[in-house]
Amino acid sequence: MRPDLTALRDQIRAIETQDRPTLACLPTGALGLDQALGGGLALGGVTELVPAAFMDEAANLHFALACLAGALKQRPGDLVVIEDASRGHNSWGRLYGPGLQKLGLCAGRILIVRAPDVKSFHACLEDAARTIGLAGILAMAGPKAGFGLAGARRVQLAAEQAHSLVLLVQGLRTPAFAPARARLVVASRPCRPVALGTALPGLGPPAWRLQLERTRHGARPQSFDLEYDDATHSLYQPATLADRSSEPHYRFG
Amino acid sequence: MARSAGGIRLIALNRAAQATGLSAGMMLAGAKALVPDLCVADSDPAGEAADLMALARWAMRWSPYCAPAKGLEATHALFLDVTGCAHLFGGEAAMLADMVTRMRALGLTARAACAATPGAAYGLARFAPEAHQGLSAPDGPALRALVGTLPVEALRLPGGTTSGLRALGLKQISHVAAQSSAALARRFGIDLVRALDRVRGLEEEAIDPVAEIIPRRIRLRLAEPLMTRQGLELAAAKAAGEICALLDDQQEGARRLVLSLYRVDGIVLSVTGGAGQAHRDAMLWNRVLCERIEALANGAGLDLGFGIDLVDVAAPVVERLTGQVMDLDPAAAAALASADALHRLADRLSARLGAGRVTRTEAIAHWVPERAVRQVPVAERKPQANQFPAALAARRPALLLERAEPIDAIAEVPDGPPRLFRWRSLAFRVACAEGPERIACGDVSDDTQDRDYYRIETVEGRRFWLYRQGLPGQVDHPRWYVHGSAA
Repeated sequence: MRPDLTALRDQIRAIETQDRPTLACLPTGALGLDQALGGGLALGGVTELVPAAFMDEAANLHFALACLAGALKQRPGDLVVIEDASRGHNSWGRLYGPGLQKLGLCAGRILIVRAPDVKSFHACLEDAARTIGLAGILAMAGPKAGFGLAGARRVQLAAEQAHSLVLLVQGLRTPAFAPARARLVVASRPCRPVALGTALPGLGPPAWRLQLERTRHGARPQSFDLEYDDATHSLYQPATLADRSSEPHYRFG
Repeated sequence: MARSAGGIRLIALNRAAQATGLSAGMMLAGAKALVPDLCVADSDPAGEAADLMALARWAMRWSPYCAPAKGLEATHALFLDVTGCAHLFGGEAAMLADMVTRMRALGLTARAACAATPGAAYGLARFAPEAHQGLSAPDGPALRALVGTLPVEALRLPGGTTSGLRALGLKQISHVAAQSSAALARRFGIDLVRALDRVRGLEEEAIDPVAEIIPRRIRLRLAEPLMTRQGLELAAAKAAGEICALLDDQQEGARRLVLSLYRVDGIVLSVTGGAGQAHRDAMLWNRVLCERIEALANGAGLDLGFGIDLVDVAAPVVERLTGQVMDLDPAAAAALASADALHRLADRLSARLGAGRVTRTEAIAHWVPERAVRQVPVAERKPQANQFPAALAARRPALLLERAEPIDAIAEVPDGPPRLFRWRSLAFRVACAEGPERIACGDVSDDTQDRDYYRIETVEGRRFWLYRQGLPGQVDHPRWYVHGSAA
């Protein structure tokens, strides 16, 4: 390689990294997932959540809300929810206060923004990501709300500046968000039923199967089974179902 | 023209029609016989009232107390209370001349007069001879003498009363005033006596201004009309700076700013910017106003016409706001700064998207699920409550459909949970279920039946909130609905 090109690359790298804050993480409570993500959900970056199938879109949003309940517990400030109203989110329903409270999301700390079109959705997300002192940002994108490379980069830089926690909940067909710190594919999973003595058993804690598709620091793709505890408002890996073969950290000897 | 008892009559005429000898009140057939090529159009009282209201808004350039005349419908008059305003335009006579000139420039025929009461001013403007036009009337006995020569139509009374007075030979106001008021009241009602006092400058008449009274206001009169967006934004920035300086002097902050742009041709464009918290930061207000101008340009379209010659910024809602003391404790200062940042974000987004799109959830004590929440715009007010009863919240889904959707379900009879259901042409098999939670909707909902709610999970792990409408004893074939997901 030509030496001047190498020098130029070094220069660009120095410009790119000099103002970057050291990247922090927010633990989700599920140890295996946190380790694979490099400590937890990225602060100062966008984490992309993708449904595994069309019918998993509700589960995907459910999981995002569960993650944000942890963020509200650990960080001060409010949660800003940005909906792309053109996404036809009516298919799954709108956020419902009592149900959010059950998950640990207090309605008093949630600001809901309904962007009428894709353009204003992008602008709102960038504006919110730049705002200092928010506990988290939940962006619900529709199928047409894919970011261009420049737009995605702007959101990413804004989030880096303000140390924002941005969860981008994608539709099944939304194009990927290129600079995302991690991309998780969420699928619903049957819960562990509770015996009630009735014909049908009762509902256990909500459960998901996560596929870690890629991370910025290059952890290998792996999957996790997670559950959510309504009482402590935290995610955990149920011990009996943990897939130990894919969890080298838990092996002894 | 308009339909009346005898047929179609002329209501109003332009100058050319008057010159041919026609008069208002004539039958259309007669008028057509006199002037065969007469152009006529239906009368539009609502449109006229709207035009007069728009003109009243425009006339606020002379005084904020401005209103269309009340009483008779076809008076076509504006009242302005110019107390304390006239000297700004070089005295009353100069102000009247300015009004007539500007109205003429709009293509209107206007007559103006100034007197102690609106009634007297109306009479003089409409019925006084040309020599008295455009002058400010004297006060007291001299005014009464002047008004006495006016015809009785100047009283602004219904046509029946006026023609009754004329039938008695009382053609001028002085004739009527010579009669005893008791006799007049007996014959024509108390309204005549009051109208007489008003027109003679003895009784005040309240003007109900078209605009609310604004505590703080800044006006920029421009020598050259603004034609471009850039110019407009500069003017908005200057106006925001001036009003914030004014608010700073008064130790106040604004919750709302209204930017009114007066077009040369008499149309007023107006945009409103709001804030969740009162403040007087000129830069922030400028940003909000520019967002609103952009929203106007994107939406209805920003038509500057022949330019803007007056920019007006008003602060209709102000609050006491003294300077803030910085907190020396870094944690408290950071919390304050982040709360501030959130307020600003909410204000910006409200300005860009509209207040109704940036909301918080308010908890309402109501047992029907769809009525237990309300979205409250942050720009308007704080939600009164945001905590739901914990026992209730434990059984609710995170996502609620705006309308419950009917499903085909197979359930245990008589009152068991569903086992299989079909929603949006997909089949679901139920693995777990919790319920029923019975909610009585009979009194409040359109559908008069109670609901049995179930939280269910399908074999794939998808969670829904379903209900059966109609209790087993009440109906033979209860219907099933899905009302939420992520239960």
